[in-house]
Amino acid sequence: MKAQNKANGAPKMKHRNETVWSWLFMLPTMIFLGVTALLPLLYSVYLSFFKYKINLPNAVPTFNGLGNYIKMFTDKTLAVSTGNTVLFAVISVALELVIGIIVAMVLCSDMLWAKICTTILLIPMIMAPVAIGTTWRMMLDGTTGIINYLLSFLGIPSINWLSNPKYAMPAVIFVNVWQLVPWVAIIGAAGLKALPADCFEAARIDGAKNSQIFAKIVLPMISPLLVIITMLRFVDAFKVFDTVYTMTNGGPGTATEMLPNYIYKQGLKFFDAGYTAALAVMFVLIMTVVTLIFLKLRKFVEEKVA
Amino acid sequence: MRKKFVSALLCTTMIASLGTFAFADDASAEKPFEGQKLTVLYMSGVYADAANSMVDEFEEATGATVEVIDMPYSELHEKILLDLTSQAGTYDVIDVASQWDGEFAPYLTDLQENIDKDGFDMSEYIDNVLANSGEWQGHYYGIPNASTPQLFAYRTDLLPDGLADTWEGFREQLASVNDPDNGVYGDSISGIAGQLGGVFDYVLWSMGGAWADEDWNVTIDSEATRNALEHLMAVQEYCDPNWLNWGTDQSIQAFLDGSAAVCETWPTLGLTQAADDPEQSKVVGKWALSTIPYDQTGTTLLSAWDCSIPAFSKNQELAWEWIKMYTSMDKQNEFYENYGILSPRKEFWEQDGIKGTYMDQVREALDTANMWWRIPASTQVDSMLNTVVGSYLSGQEDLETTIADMQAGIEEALEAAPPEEGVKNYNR
Repeated sequence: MKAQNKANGAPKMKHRNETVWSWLFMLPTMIFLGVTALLPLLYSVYLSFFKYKINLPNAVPTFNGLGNYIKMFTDKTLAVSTGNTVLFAVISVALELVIGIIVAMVLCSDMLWAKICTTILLIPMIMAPVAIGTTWRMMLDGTTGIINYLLSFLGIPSINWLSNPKYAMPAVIFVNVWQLVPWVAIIGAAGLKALPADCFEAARIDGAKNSQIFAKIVLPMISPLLVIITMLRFVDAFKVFDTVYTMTNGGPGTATEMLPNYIYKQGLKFFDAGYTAALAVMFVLIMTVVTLIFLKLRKFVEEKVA
Repeated sequence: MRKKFVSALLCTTMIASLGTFAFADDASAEKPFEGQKLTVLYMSGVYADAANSMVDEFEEATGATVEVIDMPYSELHEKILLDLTSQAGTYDVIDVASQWDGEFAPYLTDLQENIDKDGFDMSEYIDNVLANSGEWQGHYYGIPNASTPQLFAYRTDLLPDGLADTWEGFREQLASVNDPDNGVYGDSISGIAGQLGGVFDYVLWSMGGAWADEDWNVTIDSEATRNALEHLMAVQEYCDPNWLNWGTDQSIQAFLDGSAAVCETWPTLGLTQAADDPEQSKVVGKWALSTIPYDQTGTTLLSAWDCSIPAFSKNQELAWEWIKMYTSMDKQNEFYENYGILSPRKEFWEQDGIKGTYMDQVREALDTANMWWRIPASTQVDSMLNTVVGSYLSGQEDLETTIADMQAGIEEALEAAPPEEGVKNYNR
């Protein structure tokens, strides 16, 4: 009996040891994340219930209940910037996804030209967003910019890209798409290359056209990847800051005012720590919900593909 | 013999040692800050360039080492404020835009003791500039080092009689010279968010309007505000259609290229330096400066900077030495020659080559120019004005909604960051 108990106890002990070791290995990361991410987040949640203007001498946080959260519902600029950010994110990501996958299909060849094109496509990705914003701001200038000069050859009259609210948002979306289509294309190309070739050969033998192969085979097979790309791009687009800041600084008026820029102003221009914390908490909550929806969607799509 | 030799050697060594100590004492007397490090913070551009040009001379004179850090204007306020409120003492000298004086004052060293100790004569500064820059509630927290009023540059060939005294007359002049088909617009203005609020301010002030009265009662819902906004809307017709996205550099470049008859600008940020250089300008010999139309008050916007010492700096004395050198008459002249920085010292404007030139217009404007509020709420109000004026001019909001937004925005800023008790509003 004792021997049997010993025989049963050994794997249990081993399992327990493995658990202890795995927790020990995770501990430094957990401590690091706790100190750098969790504690600031918890402090932000705490601060969001207080009034605290840190640029006032001898300022101390005073309890404000849900005041900062209620203020959000009457904040006109917040409503505008949230609307702008959603519009920016949805249109940018949709365009990046469509154009990116088309480019990916062209790039997934193993030929030399595809490798050269891939390298060239990396350039917008590795450029600093501030440099991109500044360069495009000059190129999109209505009077001296090269874009209007080139359009004039097509008989298109001068467009005030960044000073007219009608065109300012399309202009910043265009620049974001230009910057991030390569990212989608490169990830997409990697996914396409990983697809099993025998499926396509079988489809061709069965007489399927290219469009049918794409719609019935390629698209379903890469759909989990597309969900991940969409999620990453969507979350990233919601955080857009540098490019828009350098191109328009949110203007004209509030035409390109985005949520991150608005939160930045509240925090580091007006030093309203309480309201900024509340905005940041809401921002994190919304992004968490969006991410969870995408993860559910990914699971659903993966199960469907399987 | 050996004893004599040893004695002589000892004597020589002692004399040599004494000499060395004496020399060392002299050196430490000459360079009392040997081994200390001074960190100074300036706005990127000419002010930081001027600081860098002074480093060698200052290090030679004091024995200290100097690190000049520069930040663009858009980041300067937050960097300084975070350093001051966290009491980090990263910077020993900071160059403060005068609109931040009241906000930063609780964290700055009162310079009165240093001023008294060195007999620093504050009456050498232009009264209006000093009242708006460095001095706060009867205390000196900074020594002014640069001051520029917002002025109008204009084409003397197109507007030989100068500029009108009223905004209405000014608009008529713009209409008469506006000829976009031939590449000349009437006016060139920097209208990007960050500059547009200031443009609105000087039009408002000169029309007799203000953000609030002396007791901080908001007075923005006024006829003057309506007139100022309507004026800007009307002036758009005579501007390049892209002006709402133009920075100062672009508005000045348009004037230098001969594409605008008038340029509403900070003249020393590139215009006065380039306008008479044939390689950089198409308006050589055909331009002049003017004060803004007087209308009701003639009050224009003042850009002024003062050097201050954070209270948590560990190098207070050395910092004061830096400020003395940076703001000295010799250096102010040198900085004007090399970087076009305008001195707030009265004497500067009396010199040959300055007095009797177009610079008289600049000097005249410095006597009445105004900075907006200098309390903690000012940044929020200025930012809000930039946004709502931009919304109005780009057709996103109508006049009455714009004014209602201004009223609400100013009240909200004052409620969130009320002025300290006893502080009156004398900055409009």
